[in-house]
Amino acid sequence: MTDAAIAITALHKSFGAFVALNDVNLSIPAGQRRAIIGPNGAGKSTLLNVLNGQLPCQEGSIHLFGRDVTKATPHELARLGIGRTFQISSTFRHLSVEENVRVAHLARVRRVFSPFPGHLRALKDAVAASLDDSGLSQFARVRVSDLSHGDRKKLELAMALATRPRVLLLDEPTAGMGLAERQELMDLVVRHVARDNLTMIFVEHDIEAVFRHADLITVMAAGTVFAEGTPAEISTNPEVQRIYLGSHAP
Amino acid sequence: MIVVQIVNGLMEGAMLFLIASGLTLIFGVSRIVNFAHGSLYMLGAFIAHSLIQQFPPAASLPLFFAEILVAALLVALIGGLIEIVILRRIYAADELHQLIITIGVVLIVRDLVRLIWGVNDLSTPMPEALSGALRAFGMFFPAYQVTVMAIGIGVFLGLVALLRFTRFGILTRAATDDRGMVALLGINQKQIFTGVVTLGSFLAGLAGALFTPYGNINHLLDTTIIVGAFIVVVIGGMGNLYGTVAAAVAVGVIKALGLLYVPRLSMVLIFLIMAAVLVARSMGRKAANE
Amino acid sequence: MNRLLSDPRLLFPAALVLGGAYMLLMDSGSVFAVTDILIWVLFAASLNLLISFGGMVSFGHAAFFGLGAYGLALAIFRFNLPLPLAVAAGLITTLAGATIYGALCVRLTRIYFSMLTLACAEITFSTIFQWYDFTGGDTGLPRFVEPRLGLSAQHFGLVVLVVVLAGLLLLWRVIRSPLGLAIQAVGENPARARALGINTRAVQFAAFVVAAMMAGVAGMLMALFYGNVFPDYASLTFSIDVLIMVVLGGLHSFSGGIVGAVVYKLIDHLVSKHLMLWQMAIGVVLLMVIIFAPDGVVGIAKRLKTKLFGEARP
Repeated sequence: MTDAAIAITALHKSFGAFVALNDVNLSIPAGQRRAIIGPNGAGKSTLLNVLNGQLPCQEGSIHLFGRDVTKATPHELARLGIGRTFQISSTFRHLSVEENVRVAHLARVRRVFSPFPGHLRALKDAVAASLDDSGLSQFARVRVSDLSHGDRKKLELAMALATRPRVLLLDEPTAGMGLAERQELMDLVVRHVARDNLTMIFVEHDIEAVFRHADLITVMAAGTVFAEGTPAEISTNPEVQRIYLGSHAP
Repeated sequence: MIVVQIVNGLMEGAMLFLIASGLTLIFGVSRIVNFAHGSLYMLGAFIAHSLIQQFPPAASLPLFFAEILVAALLVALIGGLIEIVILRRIYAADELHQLIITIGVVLIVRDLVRLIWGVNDLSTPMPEALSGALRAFGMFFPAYQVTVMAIGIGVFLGLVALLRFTRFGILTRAATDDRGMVALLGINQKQIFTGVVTLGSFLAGLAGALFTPYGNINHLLDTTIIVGAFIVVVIGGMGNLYGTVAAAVAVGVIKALGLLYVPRLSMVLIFLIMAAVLVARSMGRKAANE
Repeated sequence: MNRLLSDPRLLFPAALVLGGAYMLLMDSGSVFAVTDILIWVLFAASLNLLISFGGMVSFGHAAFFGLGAYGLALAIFRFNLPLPLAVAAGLITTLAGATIYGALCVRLTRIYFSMLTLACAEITFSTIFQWYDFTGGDTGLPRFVEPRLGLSAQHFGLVVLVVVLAGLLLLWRVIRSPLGLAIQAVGENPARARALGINTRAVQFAAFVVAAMMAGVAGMLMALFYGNVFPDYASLTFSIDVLIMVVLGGLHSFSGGIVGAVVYKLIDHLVSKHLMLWQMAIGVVLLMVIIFAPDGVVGIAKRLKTKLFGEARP
């Protein structure tokens, strides 16, 4: 048996008296597209933040392709193949779109400390390809602060992909977007995931997108895993209907 | 000798507390590192000097303390005005701009003080009744230092009561703990900010006024005192009143004892402690997270 | 014109030629004033790298100005080293300080970073101030060398011009390099940078050391210019002055620190010639700039240019 892309065992995280994650166990096989859903405050974002090392966990362990990464820092995890986007799109607003992507490629080739502009020029093709892939070529020289919300989300995705991750964490990739834009972005994501055979974990409130794109769905509530199953199973699970879908179904 | 130094240290601690408490309160609610706080202290000292010159209290202690109080109140007024006219415009600006604007105020006040009071050291006579020594436990303690200490303790108790039991105090604490809360308070926010800055300015003015008869004053007082206040505020945990009290006393005493035992290292010592506290706290935060 | 102002390959040689002509043709008084300004320009530009690009607001940048100056002066005064070795000593002293302080300071962020830089600078200042036997205490080391190394005002001005331009060019190159891009990225959004695999602390440390070294060079120039060193070089006053320059010039542009230093020093020279109130003048200008033009003098100039010549090319 091959190692799971992500294996989480007995994960526990609390902020003071508030328990955000309580005994979370998850195993996500390589190449799977896993959606994490649940009501607000269920611990979904906290889980992603622990997974990319942004928040240290108090108990439990995390393995990435069989390797113990429980104590790894965010930049170590990024180098080990975890890429992510944030709930509130997180980019470098003072820099141009092209420069944003260039930073990501720079991090990938580990030339962050290079004093030689030549190392930037060498990334030209890779940067252009990334921009082309995500349909951002025409905005290459635009400052990110002048970019629309949807394009910023696309940019963030392009940056995450530029680091060539093996596991992609997406925190509400389509939040705040219009319907057409949402579909476009999710198609973009899925295309890349399929092409590079990535493992993808996404937190999403748009149930339709979840059902369409997830291989398996994990439902979280109050910091624990509440249910797990295929879209078909989850959509017919009465308990899930009650706590979650009942109030959010379109 | 040690006891005398400790008393000196406690007196300096009381002074430091008066100035640092205002600074920490202002930082707590507004997140502004107010360099102008030292200037308000300096204004308090000079205004008190002028009052005492104009109306010599001679043997009248009530008149002396009334003059100190008037000086502090005038400084409170000035501080409140600065908040309304200048600081209020920049609460939305980034931290660096907020900080630099308070430095702008420092420069303006310094030249104003020079213009009004000149560049020479000024000294102010101390009231007869406070210039002697008190006898207790078979030892003599300088009366003025003991008075300042008593005022420091009084102010601390007053602040605690204010923060605990008044509406203003409760709102101030809420604003310190959670900036989001402040926004929810809506129109009260401006009043809270003005109130806290005015209160802080009063404390700075009071500290300055109390310093007047104790030492020479000049237009460079602002820098000296603001650095001392920063040390205390940082060690006390920025925005934390109880921490500030402890830090003020500790810094005062360590400084005094440092002068006695390691005079050559006295200045470095305090800053080393400040740096150590900052680094230790950053590591502590990380440990608490794990 | 636009091209000249934005392309360093033209700008630096032009500045060298024009500045060189100025240094050689003007009277000593004017040359002194410009030499002084140039040294501050390098000092401010180095802090600008840290603040505008690295997002790190240092309250103690003068520490490295002082370390450079004292490293050089002590090497000459106490150890009789020849100038090249003394310069090396100044650089090594600065590097040592930058390594220790930098390693500590980059562990902290925001106001805590600022406060730690202040503490570090005050440790430096106090050490210089109180280590009387070695550093000369508050009297400094007067005449540790002939002022301007015995050169004429004009010739020394030329030396300063070359060194400052070289320093600025180096800072410019750093900002344009991969490292510079990383510094900007980390300065703006450390969480994002970490998620991309960038070791943010190491990048910040690199920025801190580069900025410190340039400040050290500026300090050495100042020490040689006057032939004196004073503890003031490492003082909070110097740290704050240079901070004011950066903000006055305008954040987020390379020219901000340079322009800020020039404006600040011009106000200083012009106003203090006529009346005693130059601090107030600077204070008032600061308030005005921050309230009405938070992007500083460079921002004002950019808007003027846009108005006059239309939209600037990005």
